[in-house]
Parts: sequence; structure tokens; C-alpha cells
Amino acid sequence: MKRLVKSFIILLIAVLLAACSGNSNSSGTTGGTSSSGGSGQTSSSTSSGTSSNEPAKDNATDLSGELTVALWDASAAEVLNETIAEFNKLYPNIKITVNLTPWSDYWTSLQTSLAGGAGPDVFWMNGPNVHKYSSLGQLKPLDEFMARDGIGKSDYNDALITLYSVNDTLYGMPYFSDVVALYYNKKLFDDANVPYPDETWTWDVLRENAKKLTDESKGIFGYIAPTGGQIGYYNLIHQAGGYVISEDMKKSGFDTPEALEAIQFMLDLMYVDKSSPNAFQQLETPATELFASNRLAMFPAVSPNTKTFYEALGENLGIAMLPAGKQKAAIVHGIAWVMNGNTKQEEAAWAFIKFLGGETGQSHYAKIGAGTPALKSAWNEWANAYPTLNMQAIIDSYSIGVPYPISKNTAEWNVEQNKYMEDILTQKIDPATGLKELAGKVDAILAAEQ
Amino acid sequence: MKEALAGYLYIAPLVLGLSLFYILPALASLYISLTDWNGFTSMNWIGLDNYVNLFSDDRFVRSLRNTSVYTIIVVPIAISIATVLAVMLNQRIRGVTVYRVIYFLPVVTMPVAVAMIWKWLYHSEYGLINQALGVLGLPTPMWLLDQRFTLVSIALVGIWSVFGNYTVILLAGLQSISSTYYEAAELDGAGTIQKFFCVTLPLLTPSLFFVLVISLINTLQVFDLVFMMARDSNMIEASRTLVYSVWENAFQFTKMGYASAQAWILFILIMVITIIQMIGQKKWVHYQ
Repeated sequence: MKRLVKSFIILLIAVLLAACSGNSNSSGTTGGTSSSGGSGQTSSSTSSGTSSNEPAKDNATDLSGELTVALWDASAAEVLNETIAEFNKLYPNIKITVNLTPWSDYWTSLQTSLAGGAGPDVFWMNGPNVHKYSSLGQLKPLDEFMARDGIGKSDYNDALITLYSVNDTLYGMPYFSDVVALYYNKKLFDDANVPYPDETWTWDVLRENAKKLTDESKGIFGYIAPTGGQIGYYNLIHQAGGYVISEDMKKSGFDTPEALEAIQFMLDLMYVDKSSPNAFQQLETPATELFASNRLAMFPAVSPNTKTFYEALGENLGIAMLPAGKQKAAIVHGIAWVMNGNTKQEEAAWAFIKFLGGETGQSHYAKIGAGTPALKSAWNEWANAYPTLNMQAIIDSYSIGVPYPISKNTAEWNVEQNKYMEDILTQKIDPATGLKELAGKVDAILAAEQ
Repeated sequence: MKEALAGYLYIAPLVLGLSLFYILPALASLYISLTDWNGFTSMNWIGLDNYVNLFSDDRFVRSLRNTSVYTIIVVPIAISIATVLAVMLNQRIRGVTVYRVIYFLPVVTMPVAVAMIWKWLYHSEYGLINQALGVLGLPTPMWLLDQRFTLVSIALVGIWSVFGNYTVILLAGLQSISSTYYEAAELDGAGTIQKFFCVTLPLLTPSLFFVLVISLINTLQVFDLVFMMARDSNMIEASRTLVYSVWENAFQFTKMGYASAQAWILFILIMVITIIQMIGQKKWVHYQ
């Protein structure tokens, strides 16, 4: 009996120890499908070795290690495997494991694994989170690496460089971007005999034509003034000459006359002209559904939607720049690859990040035809994904691009912003009062960040 | 002595698992709730500050109120429906298994799917509910968007998705009631109603008590329905629950300390209610 007890205890301890060590190895791979991309050591050579962004071959083979990379988008993960295969031709000794976690769990599992001192070596970052993660010391600055290897920030989409720079330090290698553009349904324009939108359009032209395009009996709306920030009022506030969050991130622009003008414009379209679904209707029926079912003539949307829209409308789909207010503006956001601040394999991680942001990685991403590659030289290839569409309008929109507004605790003031904006746009509170109160709340949150 | 040791060894796997994955994390969260931990950097001891701040946080107070209202709506109605249904399903009627399956279906359906379907049913223009009300010439409110109704509308879905579970438990309770009680009652001349209130209900109280305890615990922790149905808009302010606030603070705002404090308030609330029930059961639960 005693022996039995002893062996039982030993067994238990063994199990526990095994569990613990297993844990430290696998933490950070929660919920992801892994696939190894290390099979691409075939002899076929591509142009990748000739790109200026990639290192000479001799020191490449010296680097070795095992990297884990994390992202949330399945179609990007597919291209990523191609990129890894190419990468492994240059760096055969770096083994890369892809960790795909759906968006709904991404930040939760990332946060948990980073807090445990582990986490992926290289992972996807978005604008609203970059300040938070960098200020918590979870990200490695990339400037020194970039300077050392002679990679110029100017080769990349400027708005993305701004978005991922915190106190003039760059924390992310821009991967792809999106911009808000005006998508329209050519058939509805033809039916109503209205000329297609172009870069000369202003708010007034938009408003007039939206009225003409609206047909209440058929349930057709001329335009939608989206209740959301990114595709909605952020653009309008900037077009009116205002701002959402000041550049030093100390003040919000919600209480400026420009913001009020933008919001009033939305309210007019919703409740005076009725040429846009009102806030209630928008909350219940997604705009994408209206647009795809030919019941919405114009839809300001983020550019990666091109694929979905093209599948729904085919050659009836048109793309234009957003109409101008006092000035032109369109919100730009995008995704960057960042390096885990605690990674033990800095050099290997940087080599991979550099490759992703280099010509090969960017050209692979361009093929999806979703987000625009961040590297400007890959833009042409990307635009060719839809030869019949006016993809130039999206590229032109980057020239009027404004970075997505963020601060350290973006999520926190977004909650207040969404709450007040909904109350204002559902006409529960008067816009001037609401915007003033909102600005007060946001300013307080920004002050607490300092 | 040896036998006792062997006994402990037999329960050791479960005890170890429980301590490792439940008790230790729970104690850790108690400690975290006394710090300003943000989930990444080091923790600073701030004493009871988190708990003090809770009660001046109107979002927290609102979630406390919403959780109470939700529970007060869901628990009594779900248990009443379950009791009546269990009695009906205990009859010998044709196709009773089919009915049992139908009532149990919502329980095994994923909450996410349930929430999505109900969101459509509640749609103010195209939803089935308002279409039907419109045909009958009745008012067609915005069930979810009108913040006076949001919580009630979600509570109705909550009732719908749990009563099947309670029905099954109560059905098992009913089937364990010996038929001799009914025979005796019939001899004394009791009718159907009298038999229900004087025989069935008292003998069902152990099952009812069990259902009441678990339903209160589960309902106080409601999260998924609210998360799925209301989170995109201000509906959330009219329906945010305690667990939603815990999630929001922990994973949206990375305020782990503050979120842990909220979780502990919820734990204390559930514990107090359960203790009260344990004491109260002596007055109304009859064991055979």
C-alpha cells in the first residue's frame, strides 16, 4: 500500500510538472490553427532575392530560430503562408508558426499571453491599440532596425507611418491600409438620371443628388450618413475643417463648430431630406445589406469592402472619392506587423517583419485585392485585381487621407463617443449640447492618459 | 488510516484540478482586485480603492440594477413556465417525447445563434413579431432600440432559452414522486387542482429548490445574450450586466484590478443570495 501511495504521488508530481512546462511552451497559441510554412525549400528561384529591401544571402542563412506570428484574418493567413515559403528560401533556418485567432478572441488571447511574458514574436496590430501596447512596453521600436537596414519610411503610406508612430518612434511595419471612399450603384444613378459622382462633388451636390436618387416607394435611399465614426462622422468632421483628437492627443474636437456642422449635415440628410436611413434604421439594418440589394445609391465605406460589393453588384459598382466639405478628407486606417517587446529572437523577428513589409510580402498581399498594400510601389499591382473598377479613386483618396483618431486608451473614449453620437443622431439630445458634453468626457479621459 | 489516505488520493486529481484552475485563480483575482494591475505591467497595491470607486461609477451601478431586474424577470417566469410544462409533459399523451425535445431545443442551441435569430425577430420593420402585430393593427414598438424595452426584450429571450433545462429537471423530480400519494389523495376525494397543490407541489419542492438555486446563480451571470444583442449601440447602457462590465473593464479597458473588484462584488452577491436560500429552504422545502 505504501509503495502504491508513493508511486501515485510521484506520478502526480510528474503530471503536474509536465503540465507546467507544456504550458509555458504553448501559451500564446490558444485557439489558433497552426500551420508550418517551412516546406518551401524548393530550388525554384524568384525575383525576391533581388529586392533592395532584402539582405544579402550570406548572413541570411546564419539566422535561425522559431517564430510565432499571430493575426486574425483568414484570407491574409493564406497569403502569409506563401510569403513564409518565400521567406524560408532566404532564411531556411527560421521556422515560422502561424497562429490564426478570430477577431473576437484576438485581443483577449494576445493580452493574456503577453501578460504571461510569452505571446507571439510578431503579430498584427491596429490603430486603436498601438498606443496602449507600446506604452505598456509590449512592443519593440523599429526605427533602429529600419535605419540600420536603410528602409525609408517615405516608401510607405504616410498616414500609416503617422498612425503607428508614438512620440516619433515607429512601432509597426505597415502591412496594408484602407481608406474611406464613396461606393455607388451605377444602375440607380442611371434610373434616376443623375451623373456619377466624381472628385468635383461637394456636400451641396451630394445633398441635391441624394434627394433625387431617393425613392421612398421603392425603399431606395440616395445616400447613407453612417452613424459610425470611421466611415461616418470622422470624415465629415475633417471635411468641415475640424478634428476628432488633436495631434498632441490632449484635446478632442467634438465641441468645435466644425464638428457641429458635420453632425448637423448628417441630421439634415436623415430627418429633413430623408435621403439617408436614419439612425434607428441603421442600427437595425446593416448598410452593406441595403447596398448589396440595390436599395442604397451611395455608400461611404472602407476600401477592403470592394470585393464584397463587386460580388454583389458586378459592373454596376462605381468608386469615387468622398465629396468635399470645406476641404477634402478621408479617414485612413491600416494594419501593421509589430514585434513583441519581450521576444528573445529580435533579429529573426525583424528579418521576417522586414520581409513582410518588403516587395515580396507586399506583392503577395496585393493579390487578395482587399486592403491596399502599405508599400507604395505595390499599389499598381493591387489596383489590377479589379481592372474594370476605378481603383484609382481609392489610391487618390490616400492623398487626402487623415489617420484614424487614436490615443492611449482609445477604447475608453470610444465608448463615450458612441454613446453620445447615438443619442444625438437618434435625436434624443440636441447636437450642440451633446457634443459639448461629449467633448468634456473625452477631454477628461485624455487628461488622465497624460 | 491507510484507507483514508487512499481516499484522499482518489479525490486528489479533482481537488488538484479544482485548486489549480478555480481556487487559485479566484484567490489571485481577490489580490488583483486590491491593485491597479493593467494586465501587463507590475501591480501596485491600492487597498480598497477599486471597491470604493465602484459605487460612484454610474456604469457599474447601472449594471448592478440591470442584472437585478433581469434576474427578477427571468427566474420566476422561467421556473413557473417550467413547472407547468413539466406537469403537462408528465401526462401520458401521444408524442410526449416530441414535445420534450421541442422544449429542450433552445437549451442546446448556441447562445450566439439564439441571439442572432431573436435580433431578427425583434427587427422593428421586418421582424416577424412586428409584422404579426402590424397585421393585427397593434402598436409595433422598437423592441431592442427603444431603451425602455431593451432589457425586457432580452430577458424574454433569456426565459425562452433556459426554461427547457428547468423543465427537464422538474420532470425528473415529478417522476420520482410515488404514485401511492396520488392514490391516497384520490381516496380522500381530491380533484386535479387539489392534487397539484397538496401533493405534487410540496413533493416537488426539493427539485424546485435546486432549480431556484442554479437559476439564480446562472441568471446573475448573464453575459452572452447581452453581448450579442446589444453591444453595438446604446442599447448596452440599458442592458449592461455585471459580467458584461467585468468583461469590458478587463479586456476593453485593460483595468484588471477594477474588473476583479467587480467580479468579487458579483461573487459576494451570489453567495449571500445562496446562503439566504439555504436558510430559507427549511421553511418551504419538504423532503420525502
